[in-house]
Amino acid sequence: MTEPGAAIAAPPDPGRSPVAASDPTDALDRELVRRLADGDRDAFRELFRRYAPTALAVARRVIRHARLAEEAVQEGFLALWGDPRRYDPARGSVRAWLMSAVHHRAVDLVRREEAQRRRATEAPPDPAPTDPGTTVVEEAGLREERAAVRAALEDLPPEQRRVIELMYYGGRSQSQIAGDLGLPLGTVKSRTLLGMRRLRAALGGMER
Amino acid sequence: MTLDHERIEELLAAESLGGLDGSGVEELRGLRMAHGADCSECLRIEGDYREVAGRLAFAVAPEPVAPELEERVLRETEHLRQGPGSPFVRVGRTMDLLLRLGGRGVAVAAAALVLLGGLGGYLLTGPGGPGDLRVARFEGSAPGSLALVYEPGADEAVVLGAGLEELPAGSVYQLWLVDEDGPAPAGTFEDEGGGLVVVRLEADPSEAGTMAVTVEEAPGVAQPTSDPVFVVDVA
Repeated sequence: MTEPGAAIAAPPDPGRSPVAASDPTDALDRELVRRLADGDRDAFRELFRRYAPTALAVARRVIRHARLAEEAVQEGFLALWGDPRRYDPARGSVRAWLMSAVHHRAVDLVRREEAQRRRATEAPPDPAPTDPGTTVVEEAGLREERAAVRAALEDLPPEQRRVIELMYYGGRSQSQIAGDLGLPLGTVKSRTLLGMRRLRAALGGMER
Repeated sequence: MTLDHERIEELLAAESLGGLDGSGVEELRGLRMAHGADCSECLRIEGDYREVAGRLAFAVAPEPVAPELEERVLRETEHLRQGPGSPFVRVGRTMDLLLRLGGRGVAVAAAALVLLGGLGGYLLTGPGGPGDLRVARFEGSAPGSLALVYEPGADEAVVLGAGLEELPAGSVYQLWLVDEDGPAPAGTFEDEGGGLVVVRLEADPSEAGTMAVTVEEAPGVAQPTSDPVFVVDVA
C-alpha cells in the first residue's frame, strides 16, 4: 500500500480491544436492551429518544429523503425491539449497533432508490428538510462522544477522510467513489482501509 | 496477518461503512466461507470496524425527531411479536444464509435452488439428498417462484425466491405463518432486482400448517392488509 499515512497508520494491537475504558453510557444502554427482552416499552422509548435524533440525522445525510430516512430509523429501532438478542454485547456498544442498523437500512434504501431512478428516470428525491431553529438537547456523555468522533475524523489525512465521508455519510460505494473522484478503485480501497485503521486506533475507548 | 486476513479486513472495513456493492459483498462472504466463517480474528476485525462505523454517526449533529415518528414507532411495538419470527428478522441474499448456516445451509440452499429449477423432487428423494429436509413450492398470483425448505420439528426454515417482482420503495413482501388462530408475522423480504432472495425463518412452519406472503408497507405490519400473493400448505 502506497497511500499517505500508511507508515504511521499501524494496525492496532491484535490482543487489545479497540474499545478499552469503561463507558457508563453503554452500561445504561445495555441495561435498557436487557429490559427490551422483557417487553419493556419504557426502555424502548428511552433508547429511541436518546438515539433517534442521531440516527435520523445520519439517515437523512445518506438518503436525502425525509420519508425514507424516517423509514430507515423505524426499521432499525424496531429490529432491536423485535429481537433484542440480535444485539451481541460481546461485539460492541449498543449505540454503535443501533446506528449501524439504521445506516445499513439507509444505504439499502438509497441504492434501491438509485436503481429505480435509473430505470424510471424519475426526478431526484426531495432534499432533507432542515430546521435550524430547533436543537436537540443531549446528555454530556453523548456530547463527549461527538467531540471524540469528530476529532478522530479531523485527524485523518484529508484523502482518507474524503473517501470515508463519501462512503458513510454519502451512501456511495467504493466503485462509485472511484468514479466520482477519478481515482483507481484500488486507491479508494486502500484509503478506506488505512482510514478505518486510524479511526479504530483513535476511537479505542469503550468496554466490550 | 495472512493474505486472507488482509483481504478480508479490507472488505470488512468497506462493508462496515456500506461501501461494498453486490459483487464486493459476495466476494467477502465467499472469502469468509472458504477461510472459515468462525475465524475469531475475522470476527474480531468485523466487530471492531462495525463499532467504528456505528460511532461515526455521532459526528453528525442530531436532528429533532417529529413526535409523530416517535408515536408511530412506539405504536408498532404494541403490535409486534417479539423474539424469533419477528417481522424484522430479515436476511439478505444467498451468501448470508450460507454463512450463517454453514454446511447445513449449503444443503438447504442447494435443495431449494434445484427445486426452483424444477428438479427438486428428484434431489430430495434421490441418493445424496438432504435427508429430512422437505421442500414445498408456493402457489402464487404474482410473478416469480417461491419455495419453502424446512424440516418438521426444527425451529428453522428457509424461504427462497427467484424472479420476484421488485416492489416500489416503501413496500415489502411479508411472510405469515397461518394456523387456526389466524396469521402471525414471520418476516419480511425484498427483491432488489432479479437475484435469488433468501429469508431465514426462526420457526417451524409445519406447526402452522400454512404459509402466505402479502405485499405490505415497510417495515411490515402486525396483521395482513391485503390478499396473499403466494400461499403454500405445509405438512
